[in-house]
Amino acid sequence: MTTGKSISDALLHLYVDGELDAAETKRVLRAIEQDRDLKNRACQLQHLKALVKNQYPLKETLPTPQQPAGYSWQARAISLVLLCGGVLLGWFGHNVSSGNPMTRLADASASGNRANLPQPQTGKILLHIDDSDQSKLQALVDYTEALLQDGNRRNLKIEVVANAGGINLYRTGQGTTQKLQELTNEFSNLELFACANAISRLREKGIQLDLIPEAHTGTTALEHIVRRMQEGWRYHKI
Amino acid sequence: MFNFSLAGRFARKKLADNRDNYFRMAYAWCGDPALADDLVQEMMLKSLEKSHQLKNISRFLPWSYQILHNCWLSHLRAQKPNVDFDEEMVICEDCPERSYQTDMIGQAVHLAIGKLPIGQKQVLMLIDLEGFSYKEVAEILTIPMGTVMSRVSRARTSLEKSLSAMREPAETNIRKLRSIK
Repeated sequence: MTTGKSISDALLHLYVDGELDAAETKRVLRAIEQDRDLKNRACQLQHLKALVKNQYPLKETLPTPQQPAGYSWQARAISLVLLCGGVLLGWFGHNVSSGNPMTRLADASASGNRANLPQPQTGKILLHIDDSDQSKLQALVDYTEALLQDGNRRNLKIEVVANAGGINLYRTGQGTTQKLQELTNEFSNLELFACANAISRLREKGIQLDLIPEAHTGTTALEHIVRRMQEGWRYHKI
Repeated sequence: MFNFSLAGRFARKKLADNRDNYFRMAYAWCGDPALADDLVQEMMLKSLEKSHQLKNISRFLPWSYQILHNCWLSHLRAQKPNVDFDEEMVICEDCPERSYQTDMIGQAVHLAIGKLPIGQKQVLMLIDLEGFSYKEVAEILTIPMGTVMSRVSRARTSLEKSLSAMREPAETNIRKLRSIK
């Protein structure tokens, strides 16, 4: 019971929102086990969170937006501006470079004179990920897809290197993995590499690793990155 | 051409993939589906215009929600230029969200959420609907982490109070009936 008293309501909010680290979560869980009031309070907060989420479901039950007269012309105006903006941007912006890393990355592999006419560009890009954060994995897959599907980059070569938590990118059963496999099957200029050291370490810990067959596993991430950079590949860490 | 088309393509894909989530969030904030749709359109337009400014592609979602937040704030400021919106409430007496709810609990929760100040509502919805971390919410709304924490806590306390106040009359009636029996 005494343990429960050290758990404040604010800490419980952090707990139900998944904001605590492993040690703090363990402490709260232990306190909850020993204190019925604390357990009830945690349940109340979880319930409240579920109630809120349940009130705003995606798609199926949301009311269809009905545009009142006052908005419809605005929406049309925005669409028109968007359309005109897109046309103008494409017309005048085809030779403009910006400071965006995405753009710099894209620029980096461009070779030759791009002054007047869009030319088929060649380039080699190495994408590196070492984090299991789902948003990063998804961003890498989306970015790879965008690079591959760009009509002007047909001669581009892309390699994805994963180590540490990034190995999850190649583990079977993940949504991002499936998409990456589809891309690999569709585009022959995409290659995947998993760090041999990371795989050994995980297996030493007894972690079962089912990697997709498209991922090459013969070399370490560091060796591969160093070699490619020496060969003039552009490196980008997600 | 590539420079803009790649950034634009990436932004367009992410925006299209998440359009329903943006709409849900805008609707949860403002309570009006037509306005929510308008805000999302405006946000998508601005995101496309600014996509070349995005420094880290893995931060696209928080970045785009920040733009949605700014669109919502701009709309509010146009309505009431001199008001601090964080503590302001948007109480909509006849908006569709009221008639849209049919079940009692749902209606009670909706009403309780509708009574929250805008700042608290935004924080709560970003966390509970989209699962953003406190750090990401602080980044989206450009407020300190401590403010996020206190708003979550206050929002949930207010919700609990509102919900229990709505339940009380019904429970009182039941007790009375039992005493008659």
